[in-house]
Amino acid sequence: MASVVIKRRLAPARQAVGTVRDLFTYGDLLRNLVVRDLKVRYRGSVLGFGWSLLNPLLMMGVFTLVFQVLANIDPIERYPFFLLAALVPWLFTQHAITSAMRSVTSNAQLIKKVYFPRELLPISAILASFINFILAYAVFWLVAIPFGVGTSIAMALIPLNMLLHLVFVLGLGLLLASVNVFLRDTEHIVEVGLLAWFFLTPIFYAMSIVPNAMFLGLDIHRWVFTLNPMATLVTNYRYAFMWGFFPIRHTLVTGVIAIGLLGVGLWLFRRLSARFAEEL
Amino acid sequence: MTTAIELRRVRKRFSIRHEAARTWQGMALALIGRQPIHHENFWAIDNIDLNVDAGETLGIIGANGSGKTTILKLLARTIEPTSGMVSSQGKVFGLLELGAGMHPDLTGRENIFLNGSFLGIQRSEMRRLYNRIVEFAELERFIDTPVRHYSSGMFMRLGFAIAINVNPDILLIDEVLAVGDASFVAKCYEALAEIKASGRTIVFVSHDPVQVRRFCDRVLWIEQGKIRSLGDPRTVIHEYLRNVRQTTSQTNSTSSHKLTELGGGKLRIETVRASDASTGMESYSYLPGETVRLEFDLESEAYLEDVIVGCAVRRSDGLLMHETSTGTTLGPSAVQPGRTRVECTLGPLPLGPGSYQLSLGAWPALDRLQPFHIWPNALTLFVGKAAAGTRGIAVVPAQWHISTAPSIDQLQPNATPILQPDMVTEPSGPFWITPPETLVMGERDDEWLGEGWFPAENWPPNVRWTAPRAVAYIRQDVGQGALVLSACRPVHSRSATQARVSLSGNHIATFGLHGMDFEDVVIPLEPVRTPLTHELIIEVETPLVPNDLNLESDTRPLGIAVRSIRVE
Repeated sequence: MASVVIKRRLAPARQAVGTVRDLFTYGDLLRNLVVRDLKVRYRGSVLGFGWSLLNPLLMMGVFTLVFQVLANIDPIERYPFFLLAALVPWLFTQHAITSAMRSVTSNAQLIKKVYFPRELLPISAILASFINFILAYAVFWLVAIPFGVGTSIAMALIPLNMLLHLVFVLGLGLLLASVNVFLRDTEHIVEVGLLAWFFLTPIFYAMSIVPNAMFLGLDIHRWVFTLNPMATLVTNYRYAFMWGFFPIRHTLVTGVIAIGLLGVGLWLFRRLSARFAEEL
Repeated sequence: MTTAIELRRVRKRFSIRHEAARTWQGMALALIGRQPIHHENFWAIDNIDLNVDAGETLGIIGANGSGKTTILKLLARTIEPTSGMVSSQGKVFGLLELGAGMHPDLTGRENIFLNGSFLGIQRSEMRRLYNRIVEFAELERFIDTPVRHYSSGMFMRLGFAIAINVNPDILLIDEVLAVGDASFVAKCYEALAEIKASGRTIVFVSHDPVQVRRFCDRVLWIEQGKIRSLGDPRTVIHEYLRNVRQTTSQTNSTSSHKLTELGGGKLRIETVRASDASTGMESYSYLPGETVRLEFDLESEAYLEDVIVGCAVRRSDGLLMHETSTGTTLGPSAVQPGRTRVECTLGPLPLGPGSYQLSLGAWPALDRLQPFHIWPNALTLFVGKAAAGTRGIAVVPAQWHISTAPSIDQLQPNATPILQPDMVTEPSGPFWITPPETLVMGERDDEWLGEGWFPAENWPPNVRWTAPRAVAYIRQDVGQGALVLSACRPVHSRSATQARVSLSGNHIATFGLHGMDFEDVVIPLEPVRTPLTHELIIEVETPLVPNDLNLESDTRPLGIAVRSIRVE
């Protein structure tokens, strides 16, 4: 085996290029970490991957009951599909961000004892979630087809949307993971934040119920929709799934936000990761 | 020779953060500038330059908190230096702690592959190594069990098996060999020796100076993050142990065993030194069976009569291993004003591996509770591993013999005496509890009887037989001048039984016993000014073997039968 000379200096700036290079060098490790996360996720549970399907189904039952039966809201056609098309992607965001955020702190033993690029921890956690999400989404899609849902040509753009979704979550996950090492309060803030975010994203309701009113000099509708990447993303999933079209303009804004966030996330993570072992 | 590891002016700063600054109140106050955030910085590694050649084995020693582990972590790249440069050439594997790099929920098998990928080893390569790792770890049965169910020994075996078999160019080992059973540790050292022989670089942190001395080519002693000494293992370890000894004696009043320094009187014990009795060289690390010679000075202000000097050996956890004093050997000595040299030869040391604290003391024969000086943990001795195959806290020389057919010797009635298991041995504490003036057999007797006593079968319970040599401890009080021995011969015989009596090594009388009726043998004693404990030795010159006479199966050579020993 060829030996590698590793020269190190505590240079103030570290390049994001390094991350990409490490991903190649440590490809096997990334693979193993992803496999590990997937294995550990359902180890000990009887249903295993079944939970990735059952969880959104149960939530769907709850939301259908509350918003279509109990609450006085205009009924939405084919509500279960309407909901699942957005809920499954949201659950991916939620799970990926939570597990990425905890990936560094919960692997303290590993970080203290073994060298490897630390980025691999949140990245593998997110990739594991992502694989889980793709599988769950595929299953729901297959179930939906007989009902005449998700059959349009716009479904071809779903993988693109998923990729964008992944980039966005990676950026946010890296950011939160590194901050959480130094400020453990992050976990608690994020917990509440995710709940608020869930309600501020059109998942169980249609965008159309948001009033077009002005609030503090701003159009609430535009504000929520444009600046909330999750709103764009879930709407993309839903529109392609239910009605067969893809709102390109907002997607471009979201793309800029997602790539910018990934850059910031990587930069911050690289910068802070040198001190992880001491802090944990 | 190529350099495997290079450290250039490496410094590492850690900050000790105070929990208070992490609360919201603390942070809020810090934000508005009412309270500065307290960061206490300290340099865990302070300007270290180090080159380790490829194929070299470097040992790192130092007190706790001196920076040993920090160096390993820097080499393992888990932490970054604050300034300076660390470079390493080749694949580095750090065995920094038990279960490092293991995920508790994954099985042993999965963890092996995960660990391989930390090193950047290809999956196909790991598949090839897999069987060897499992075999080395002796975990075939548990390999598909999640490692969270593993014992610490199993963790260590798995970790070590991976470390050894993935062929790293540089292997870092931090004290992990402390757990695991003796046979596995021996196996690890063998494997390490093999790795060493194959030209790989090993950096080894250990608290066991003997192991470091045996194993390393060079030793680095660091103290407070700086290199204190670097070089030949013998020299560095010698310096290190000398230093440890001085530090322990300086801080002995805060010692963990709460042995406080006592005295403050007319006499002090000073400047203790230990040397190897066979070479005469000053040394503080020994192997079991070696003999240590202690030398120390008594610094006395006045002429003192009847001084007893003693030495106690304690294991590092405080267990008393042995205590000896001049009170039972030389007897009380007179000490002249000024400096008196004391020598004590201890050994061959029957002690198992570990570190042992020696405490010294001097006290008047009259009153042990008012010592002149007690010097707790005056010095520390390290005892290393004995030959492979022995284990335990004590090392007992053993001679084995196995014969398949009974030999002629065993068929002869006059065979070598076989010691009966019920022999009374080992006084359990005659030195610090006042021994009786009258020692009646059957009453507290085994406390005050030394070696060489047999229970007397079919005799009244207050009778014991002596072996050809028997030891007992007895006290002589002021004003007493005679030793009375109630004794007789244990069996009928035509000739008389001759016995010698000695007191603390001095022969005082010889007597003969003729019949099987108890008689009182009165032996005059020199009067004493202070109560004294005597070691009484009865040596029978003409021991009897019962079956000399009537072909009984008992082959013990017997001395005399004793009912009581008293001082009058």
